[in-house]
Amino acid sequence: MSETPLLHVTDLAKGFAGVPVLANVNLTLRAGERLGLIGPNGAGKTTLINVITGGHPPDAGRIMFQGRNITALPPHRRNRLGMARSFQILSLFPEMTVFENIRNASLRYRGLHVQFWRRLSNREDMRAEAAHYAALVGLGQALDQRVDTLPYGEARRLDIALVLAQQPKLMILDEPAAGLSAAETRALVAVLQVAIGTCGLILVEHDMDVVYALADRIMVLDYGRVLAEGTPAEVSTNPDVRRVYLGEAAG
Amino acid sequence: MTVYERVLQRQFSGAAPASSHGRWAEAGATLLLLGVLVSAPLFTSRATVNDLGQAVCLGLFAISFNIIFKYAGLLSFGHAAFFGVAAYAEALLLQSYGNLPIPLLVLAAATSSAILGLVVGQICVRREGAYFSMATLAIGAGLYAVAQKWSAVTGGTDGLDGFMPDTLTILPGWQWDSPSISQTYWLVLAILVPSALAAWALLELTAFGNAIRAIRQNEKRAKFLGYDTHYVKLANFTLAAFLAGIAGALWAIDNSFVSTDSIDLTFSTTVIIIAFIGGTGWFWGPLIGAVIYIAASDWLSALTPHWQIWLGLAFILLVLFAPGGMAGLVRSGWSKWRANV
Repeated sequence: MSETPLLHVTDLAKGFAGVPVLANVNLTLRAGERLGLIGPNGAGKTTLINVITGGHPPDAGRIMFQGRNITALPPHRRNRLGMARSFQILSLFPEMTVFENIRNASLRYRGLHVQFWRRLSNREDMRAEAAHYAALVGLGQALDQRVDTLPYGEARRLDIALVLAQQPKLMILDEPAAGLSAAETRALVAVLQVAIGTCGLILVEHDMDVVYALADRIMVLDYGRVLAEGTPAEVSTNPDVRRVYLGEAAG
Repeated sequence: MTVYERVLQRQFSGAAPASSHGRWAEAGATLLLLGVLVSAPLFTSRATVNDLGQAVCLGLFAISFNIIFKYAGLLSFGHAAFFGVAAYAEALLLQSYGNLPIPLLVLAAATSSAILGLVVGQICVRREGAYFSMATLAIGAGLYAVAQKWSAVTGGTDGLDGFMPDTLTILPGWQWDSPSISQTYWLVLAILVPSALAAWALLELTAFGNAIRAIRQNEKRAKFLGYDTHYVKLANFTLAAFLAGIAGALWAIDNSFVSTDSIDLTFSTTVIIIAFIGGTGWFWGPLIGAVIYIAASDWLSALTPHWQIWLGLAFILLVLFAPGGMAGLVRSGWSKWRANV
């Protein structure tokens, strides 16, 4: 293969207190490819994401991002290479407004996040940029609202806006639709279908409609191992997958 | 819930969102506070000016403590180390290079504190909550022991005095012969006020200040957004050590005397009390706290030799019932008044 993959994970293993959570996980993502990561609760999906983004060091294995070995890099260095993630459990800046939250993301993306010789409020361009991303996720009217007063569904979408504002090459979304109503979920899927663009995607999600709408390839994890991998059609007809995960729901 | 937990939790009760009238009110309060302090020698007694000289140095020290507490959410139990080291450095510098301009000597002494802060911060800011507090406590205790034992340099328990030259060089070619109390006070303020204003501007107006606030609110997310949170916290810690150093150096000039009282653990707790009396939610709150502390300790110590017990009791009541301190009380009073007119 001549093209360098966006993300290339080999023989990844991770355990907590001696209990293996991930074993022998291999994963390759080409530029612009969208991977849905599914599996029963406790299958190791979030752990895999944490290991890829630098939250946990792996016990074994190697992670290459755009041909560069990032296995030992801390999270902020991986982010700066173009990897941005959202969180399953809300992780925002609660005492700041929607605008300030998005600005935190874009300040870093532009390398201005610790500038100390210029008034931050003089940067009108930042406001316009934040307004753009807020509008994208339907928060255009809430720009000056404090985040700890936002309804849950809006806070979840703000999390996505922070990811988008960094214009990443790889976007990693951990259950973006968790806790959203059906209508909110549809709105989020519509937003993501447009916003992801040519960016690579790893999507952890229990809602299979969301996975089918956004992913062009699916990987199934079970007990920390890759159970199956392929197109949505291949995976949904795989007998192993039907047995352990999709069960009757997919019938 | 312990007082320690209450103290740590205080940071999350948050400052009021900056509405435009709120910002003007704050600017007005800042101008009023600094204006009164600068003009005080014009309308008060020599004894009061003498007290105020101590109060503003303690105030800057408490502001520097609060730079770590309010902005990074970390409670330092050993902050006197940075004040004390610079106070000793200033005394020793004045002894050997008393003919050099005072601002240069203050800068040199404060830089020694900043370097210490950089080294100590490397160890401390990696820790959170009580572990941070314990690390600072240990380092504070260690430096106090050094100051006490290394009497060849620090004068041990006797301290250092007689280091003030008769003629102070303010700037090259500008000298004061045996300056009055008011002159010394203004000299102290001429260095103190711009330093504090610069720190205020850095923390309240720039992206750096925004970064440290973001990290206090959610360090994990900041990391995953690409913030090198360790270095931002370290820079903030070093800045606080530098300001504590300016306060210590000015204290040495103002007091003409430096002893282990400026570096011991009691002093590290005093600064916490001062910051809370004034209010940790407002950058300038600790400065008010220092004025109140000096006034109250004068008054209480005249009434009873056990005045520190009463001060401690007042502190506990304050943390429990008025966690915003004086500045918090004024702010909520102001908001109620605004709501009624």
